[in-house]
Amino acid sequence: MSFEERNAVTGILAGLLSCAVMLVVLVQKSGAGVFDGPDGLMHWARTVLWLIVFGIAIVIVMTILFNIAYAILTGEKKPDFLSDERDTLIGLRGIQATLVVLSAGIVMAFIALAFGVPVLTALNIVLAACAVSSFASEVTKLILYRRGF
Amino acid sequence: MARARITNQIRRLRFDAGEMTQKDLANAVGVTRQTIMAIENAKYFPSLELAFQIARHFNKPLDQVFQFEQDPA
Repeated sequence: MSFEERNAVTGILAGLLSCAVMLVVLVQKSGAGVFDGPDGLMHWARTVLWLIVFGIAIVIVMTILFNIAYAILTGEKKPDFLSDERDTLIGLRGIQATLVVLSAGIVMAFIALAFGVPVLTALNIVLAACAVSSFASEVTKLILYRRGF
Repeated sequence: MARARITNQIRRLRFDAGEMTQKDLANAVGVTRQTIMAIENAKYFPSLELAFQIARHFNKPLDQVFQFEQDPA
C-alpha cells in the first residue's frame, strides 16, 4: 500500500469519525435551542468552525497513527512517503468527485432556499455536502488504487 | 472504432536484468512499487516521461519496452 493509498484509507476513517462527532454536536446544540434566535447563525458558524479544526486535528492524528500501525504490521524499516504521477492523477479524480458532490449540495441548498426552508437548514445542507464530498473523494481514490488506473 | 491497447515487456526485462524486483525498478525511476505493478498489469499507462525513463533504465529503445497494438475495426 503506497503512502497516498494509506492516506485515502485514513481520510475515510477520519471523515466518518469527524462527521459522526459533527452530527452529534450539531443535533445536541440544535435540540438545546442554541441556534434559535437572532444570534443563532453566529453560534452555528462558531460551532462549525471549531468542528472543522477538530476534523483537521483528527485527520492529522489518524494519519500518524495509521502510518505507525502500518509500519509495525508490515515490518517496514524505512517508511515510504513517495508520491508519483499515478498518485497525482488519482488525486485529480478525487478532486473531481469532490467538485461534483459539492456542486450538487450547493444547488440543493439553493433549491431548498427557493422552497422557503430556513437559512440554517440550507447551511446545514452545504455543510453535509462538504462532508459527503470529502468522503466521496477518498472513496474514489481508494477504488482507483484498488481497481487500477 | 478500432480498439487499441498498450502492452509492455517490463516483467521480462526485469527477469533478464537478474530478477530485478519491482521495488528496485521503482526506486531507479522514482515512482512507487505499486505504480510499477500497475504498469506491468496494464492497469496504468505511464506518461511518456516515465516510459522513456523505464526504457532508458533497461538500455532499450521505447518500442522494445512498450508496444501499441490496434485491433482492426
